[in-house]
Amino acid sequence: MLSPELTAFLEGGPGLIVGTVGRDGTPTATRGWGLTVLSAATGECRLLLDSDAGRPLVNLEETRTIAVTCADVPTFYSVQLKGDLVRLEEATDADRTRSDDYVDAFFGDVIRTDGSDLASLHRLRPNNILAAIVRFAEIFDQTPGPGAGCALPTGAP
Amino acid sequence: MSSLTLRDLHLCFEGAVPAVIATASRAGVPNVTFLSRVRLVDDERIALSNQFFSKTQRNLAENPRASVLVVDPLEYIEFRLTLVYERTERRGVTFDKLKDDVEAVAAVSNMQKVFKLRAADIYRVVEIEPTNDEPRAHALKPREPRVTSPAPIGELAARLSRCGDLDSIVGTAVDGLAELLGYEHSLLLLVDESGTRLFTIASHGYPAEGVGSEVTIGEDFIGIAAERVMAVRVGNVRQMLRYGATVRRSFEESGAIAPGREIPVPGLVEAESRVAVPMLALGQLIGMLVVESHHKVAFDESDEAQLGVVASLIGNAIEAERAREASDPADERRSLAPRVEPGPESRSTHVRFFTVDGSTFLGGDYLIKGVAGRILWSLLGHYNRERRTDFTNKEVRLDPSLELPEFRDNLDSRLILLKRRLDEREAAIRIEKTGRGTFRLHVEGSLRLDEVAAPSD
Repeated sequence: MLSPELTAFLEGGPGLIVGTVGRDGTPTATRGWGLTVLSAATGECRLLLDSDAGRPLVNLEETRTIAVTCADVPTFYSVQLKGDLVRLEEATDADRTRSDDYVDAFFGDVIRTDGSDLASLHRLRPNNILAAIVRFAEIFDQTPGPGAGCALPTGAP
Repeated sequence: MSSLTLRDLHLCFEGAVPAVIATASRAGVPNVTFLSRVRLVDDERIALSNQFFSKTQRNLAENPRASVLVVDPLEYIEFRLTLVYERTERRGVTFDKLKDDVEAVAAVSNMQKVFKLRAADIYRVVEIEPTNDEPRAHALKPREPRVTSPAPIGELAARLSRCGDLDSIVGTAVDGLAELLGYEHSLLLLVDESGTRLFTIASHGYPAEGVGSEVTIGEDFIGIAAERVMAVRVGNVRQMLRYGATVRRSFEESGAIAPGREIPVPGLVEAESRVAVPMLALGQLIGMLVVESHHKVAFDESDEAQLGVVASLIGNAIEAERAREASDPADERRSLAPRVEPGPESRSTHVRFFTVDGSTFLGGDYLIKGVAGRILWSLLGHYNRERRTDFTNKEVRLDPSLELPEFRDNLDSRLILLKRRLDEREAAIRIEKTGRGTFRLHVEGSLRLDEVAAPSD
C-alpha cells in the first residue's frame, strides 16, 4: 500500500493539511503535526492533531472520514491520502517527541525556503496534541498542475 | 460570526503563505489541498482562482461548502474561514485581479499558453475563527497605509523638474526613490527602439548597477505589467517562482508544453516583494518603474498609488526631454573641431565587437550589445582614425551603420545606458556629456579594436 519511498516522504516532515467532514456534510480544514506509518501494508498511520482543534475532531468522531495532503515545502510535490479514522488516542511521550521532530523538520524547510522567522512560525504550533489512528485506502497525486487529483495505484512518489 | 472581519485579515490574502481548502463530495468524502490564490472581494466575500477541472471544483458543484485556512504573514495567526459558494465570474474586476495573479505565475514560468485562469469562484464567508493565539487574533487590526504624506513625493517632483537631461532625470529618480520615499531597491527600464523589449537604464540599491539588463514585453511579471500597461504588485516572489516551476514541470510531464528555459529577471536575487508600475506619457508606454524588497508583503496599495505618480512624473520628464532633444538645433551650432586627448600609453584596452548583434567586450568582459554596442564601436572607430573625441547626438543619429529607426530612436537613452555601463565598470573608455546634444569620449591609454564578423554560412 505505502511504498518505502512514500513512507519516507510522509514521515520526513512535509506540510500536513487535513480535511474532515461533519455529519451535515460541512468540510473543515486543519493541520497535522506529525505522521508515522504503522503498517505500510495496510496503510495504517498515526497522525498527530491539535487536541484543541474543536470541529475537525468532532467531525472525525461523527463520520470517521479523513483526507490528508502531504506537501514537500521546497518543491510543492504533494500526495493526498484518503481513508477512515480507526480511533483517537491521547498523545504519548513518544508522540510529543515525534511532533517536536516533525516541527523541526517542517519549520526548517519553511525557513530555508522562504526565510520565515522561527519564533513567529511557532505561534502556529498547537499547545497540545492527540493521536488519530487512521487507515488510508486511496492515494492521489496532489502536486499543483494538470495531474493533480490523479490516483496513484502503487503509492510510489 | 466573531467580531473579526475580512478586512482585519487583509494581509492573509496577499498570497505570502499558501492557503488551504477542504471540500467534501456529496457522499461525504473530504478533499484537502493548497490554493494558489485567495482574493478579498468585499466585506463578506472572497474569490478563489480556478485553473483546472479539479476535485475541489467537482466537490463544490455537488456540495457548495468549503473550509479555508489562511495565515497572516506578519503575525502568523491562522484563521479558519467557513465558506458557501455563491457564483462564478468570467469577467469583471475580481476576475481580472485573479487573472493578473495567474498570468504573473505563468509569465515567470514561461507557460502563458497553458496556465490560464478559467474562472473566479466567489464565496460568502459565514464564519471566521482563529485557530491559534486567539487574544492576538482579536487584537489584529488592518495595517495602516505605508504612504501617509504627500511631502516626499512633492520634493521628488521638484527635483525632477530641475533636471536638464535624461541622465540626471533617471539618476535623480532612483536616488530620490531611496532617499525621499524609502525604496532602497529600484529599477528604471525603458522601452527599446523595437517596442518589444525593456532595458534597464538606471538602478539603485543593487550590488552591481545592472544597467543594460533586458526584459521582453509580455514575459515575467515586469513584462506582463508592461504589456498590460498596468501595475503589478507581488508580496511572495520566491514562493510564486517555486509554485510556477512546479506547475511548469507538471505541464511538461503531461506533454502539454515542451521543456523550456527559465527567464532571468533583473533585480534582487532573493526579492520577496516587487511592484512594477508603467511609466506613461501622452498615452504611450515609456518604460517601467520597479521597486523591490527582501521582505514579504513589503508594499501595499498606497505604495502602488504613490509609485504610479512617480512613474508618471518620470515618464513625462523623459518624454519632454526627448521632444526637446529631437527639436533642439543646439547640437548643430556647436564647434565640432576634433580634439585629441592622448592618454597615458601605459593602459591598453582590447575592444572586441561582434557584428552579428553588436555585442561588445572590453578585455574579456562583456560590456553591452545591440544599439549601444554599435554606437560605441562607431565612436571608437572615429577616435582611432581621426583622434576625434567630441561628438553630437545629431551626427550619431545620422550614422547609417547604427540602423536607428527614424521615429523614437532612443539614442539619448542608449548613450546614457552606455555611459553608465562604462562608469560602472570603471573602464578606460568613458563618455561625458558636455552640453545639450553633445558629448565627449575619454580614452585612457591605447585601444586595440577587433571586429568579429558574423559567420558566412
